[in-house]
Amino acid sequence: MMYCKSKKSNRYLIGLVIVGAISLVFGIIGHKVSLASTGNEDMLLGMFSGLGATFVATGTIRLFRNKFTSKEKLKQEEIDLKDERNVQILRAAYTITNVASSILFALLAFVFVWLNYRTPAFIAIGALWIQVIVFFISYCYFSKKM
Amino acid sequence: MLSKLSVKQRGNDVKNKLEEIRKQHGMKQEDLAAALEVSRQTIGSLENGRYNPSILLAFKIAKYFNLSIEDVFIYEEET
Repeated sequence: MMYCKSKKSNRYLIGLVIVGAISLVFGIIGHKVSLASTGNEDMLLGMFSGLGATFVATGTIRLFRNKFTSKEKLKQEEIDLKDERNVQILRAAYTITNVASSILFALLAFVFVWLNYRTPAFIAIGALWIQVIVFFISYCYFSKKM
Repeated sequence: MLSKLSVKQRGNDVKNKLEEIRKQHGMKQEDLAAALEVSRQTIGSLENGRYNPSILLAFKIAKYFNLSIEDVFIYEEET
């Protein structure tokens, strides 16, 4: 039954809450025991806290929503989620997003080199290479599967 | 009877009679979408010729109406 998939997604949501809680606790404890000696490290711990809080809030809200939403509505949501036209729309949108991010990384790399920001330039070029490698690996994987 | 039905152009070379068949069965788009477990928008897009279904959905549609795929979808090669 399709509704079983919703129950399965609850497990992922519980996992999300647990990961979020770990990240949140790490950020808070790290800040309290002053793991951060510099401003940017303090900001990093704040990012862990923020990310953790977001995961916990998202997971909790979704879990409550799944619990109190009618089965019919959940089933309709799953139909919409797995609907083949929606899946194709999502894939097309992801493709365009990926092309846009590739162009953005390339532009950033040129801008950073022009500004003599070596480290950000290498990060932008590295991100481009990671995109190429991920594309190659996923292409090989799906070529073998299909 | 189906041959007399108007057909919708889908892309360059595939047409379908889904709207006519659905109306013949007195169904709303919502009813057909629920029966096929797809969204209502998918049925609308199929009927308008904006979307080509997968072979699986094409089979499901044909089977639901007790027809063959060729009765619902018509492939025409470009000349």
